Amino acid sequence: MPPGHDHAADGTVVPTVLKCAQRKADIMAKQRIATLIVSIWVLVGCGGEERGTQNLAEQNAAADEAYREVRGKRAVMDSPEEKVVITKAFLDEFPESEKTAGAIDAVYYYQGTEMDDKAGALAYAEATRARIKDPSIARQVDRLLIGYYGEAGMVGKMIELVDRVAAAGALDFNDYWNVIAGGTVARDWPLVRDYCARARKLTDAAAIRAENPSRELSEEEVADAVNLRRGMLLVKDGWARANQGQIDPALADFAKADGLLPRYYFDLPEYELNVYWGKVLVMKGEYAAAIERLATQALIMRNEEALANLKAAYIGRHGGESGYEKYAQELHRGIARPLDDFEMPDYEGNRHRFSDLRGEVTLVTLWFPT
Amino acid sequence: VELPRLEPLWKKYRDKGLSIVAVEATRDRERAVQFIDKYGLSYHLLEAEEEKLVVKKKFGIKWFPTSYLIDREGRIMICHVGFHAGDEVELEKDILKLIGETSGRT
Repeated sequence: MPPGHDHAADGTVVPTVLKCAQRKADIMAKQRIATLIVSIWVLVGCGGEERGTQNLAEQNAAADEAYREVRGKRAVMDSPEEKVVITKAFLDEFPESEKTAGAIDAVYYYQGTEMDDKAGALAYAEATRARIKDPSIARQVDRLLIGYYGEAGMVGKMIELVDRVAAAGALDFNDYWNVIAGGTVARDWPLVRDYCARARKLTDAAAIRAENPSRELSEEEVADAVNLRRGMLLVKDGWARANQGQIDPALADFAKADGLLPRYYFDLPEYELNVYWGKVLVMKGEYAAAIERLATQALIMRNEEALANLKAAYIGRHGGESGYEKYAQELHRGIARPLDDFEMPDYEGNRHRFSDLRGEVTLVTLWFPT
Repeated sequence: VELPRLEPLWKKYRDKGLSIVAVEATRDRERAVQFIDKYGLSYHLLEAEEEKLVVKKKFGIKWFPTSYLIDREGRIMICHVGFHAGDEVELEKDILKLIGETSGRT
């Protein structure tokens, strides 16, 4: 997703570091949404320590302004090639600033995803990292690289970098989560389970407070963060366990995660819990239960994995593909819920009621101007 | 990015039973109006009256932009989170499918 395009930044009551990890997870899981905003989070939300030197502050202010301009230009550009060119030009001009990681991640998105040149994008990120001297900025870029290696299934390189980062200072939950995501892509289940166990140590209140030294977190925020982290890890650990043949423990993990994870979109638990849950139920041959878990994710949220597994569940249940299209269509209509009515003014002050549009096919878009 | 890409869809299908409603959820009126004027948007453009978090909760969403595609009977058939260049192609297919369905229960 292009920079500044998404907007989850507002007061969701979860410590920032956690939100970084959460965003990362959503993104990795969806694979349609670019890693870009994550880095903006890493920068803005989880950014490095305060640094006093006025010189650096000035540099940052200049970079800040220059990068704002770059983002403005990118917003109205159609071609990803052009976006890459102006972003790389920014990085040449400001090789080290608080915007460095964000800009590298933007290049990674436009070149890697939109231009479909992941290898080139990764090579650029590595080369750009190599010339960074400031340890705090280097750390931010390393965090990105851990994520990139993971996404590409390059487990060896990922672990090498993680070990190097760990030698220089403690890993945080976000790093562990990146490794877990990478291990999941590479289907390296022992690795996933190992890092879930390590990350589990950072799911208590003390760890969460320690990661947010600049802000006093409320009890509620800490409790939410604890639950979220534990839920996230249960999803990934459960999926790894299922792949190691431990189906019932995996299902128990999912049931536990279900009580911990926040819910959005038709009350679906976060981290695509229901997708994993449905997949494991298909493995177990419990097709009816699988279909229940997968239906909304597959047909309304249009999650591709959920869709493939919904079909697998149908085939498992009916012994063949015949009749699936019609079945899916009916299921889709059956689970679709109405949108609650609302009334709002337009910019001339005239009020409009959503229900007045009944009978029309309606696209309702919630947006904000960038 | 998403709103200008919806304009051609709206022009193409408005006579065939498509409505588009864009809800600006952050009450950033100045920039919203600027944006709307710049791209000459002409479908329903509404402004949320509540705090962004309340709007999110009310519509059950986590990220902006989110789009709900609703059939003639008022059911949310598709929920589209985020918007990439090119997503409008798939969206058009879905719109066509829903427009083709009759409003009566089958």
